[in-house]
Amino acid sequence: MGDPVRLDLNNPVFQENLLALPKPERHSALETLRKILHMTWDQVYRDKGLRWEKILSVAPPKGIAAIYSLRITQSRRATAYRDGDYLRFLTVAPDHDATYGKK
Amino acid sequence: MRTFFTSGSHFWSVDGQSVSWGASFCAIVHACSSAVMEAIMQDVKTIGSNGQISFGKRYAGRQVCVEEQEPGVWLVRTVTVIPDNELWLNTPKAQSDLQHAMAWASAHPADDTDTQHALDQMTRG
Repeated sequence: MGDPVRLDLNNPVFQENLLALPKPERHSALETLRKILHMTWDQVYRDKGLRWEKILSVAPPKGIAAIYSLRITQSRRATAYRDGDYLRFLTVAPDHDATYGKK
Repeated sequence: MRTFFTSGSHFWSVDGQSVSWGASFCAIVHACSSAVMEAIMQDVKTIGSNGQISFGKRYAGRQVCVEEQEPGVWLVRTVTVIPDNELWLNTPKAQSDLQHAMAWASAHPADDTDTQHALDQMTRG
């Protein structure tokens, strides 16, 4: 699958979560987003840094096949889903220490 | 209170209506004074040669926790499994944010017209 990724960052919840990050983390997240902008979907699925994973514990609404999480900074994940060629971001994890079960 | 009695594989109510089942079936029915009937059904199932029984399609795909409380007595409960690395998503705020975000996404089609502008704005902010 060589389909290029098209980023949809319009979700107001995602933007609010992103802007609430401490500045260094926000810049790290933005670097990740710029990196994804130049990737294909196949690369996103296989990237060991992003660690694209299907979320099992939350049922998606009608019209969304599945919700996924991906690593947006070294210690924080975001939720998103695929809609055709679009990668639509939904939220950013509120607490990076909890993301990997440290709390 | 309806009274049932058995005759072979059939159960009969006192009003003469037959409740008959291919397999044996036991129904305990009690009537409230307001005539709302509540049936507590116990279904006798046969464990297959592979050790399996069926709970019907209603629960298909669900995961269950099975506790053997004593030999031949089991408590079966449906469970929801949350992977350790999704625990962060199951806090009230994360759940609320995700529900709102999904609702918004469902109501708005995908669009990347402003993506570069958004990235630039958020970098400057």
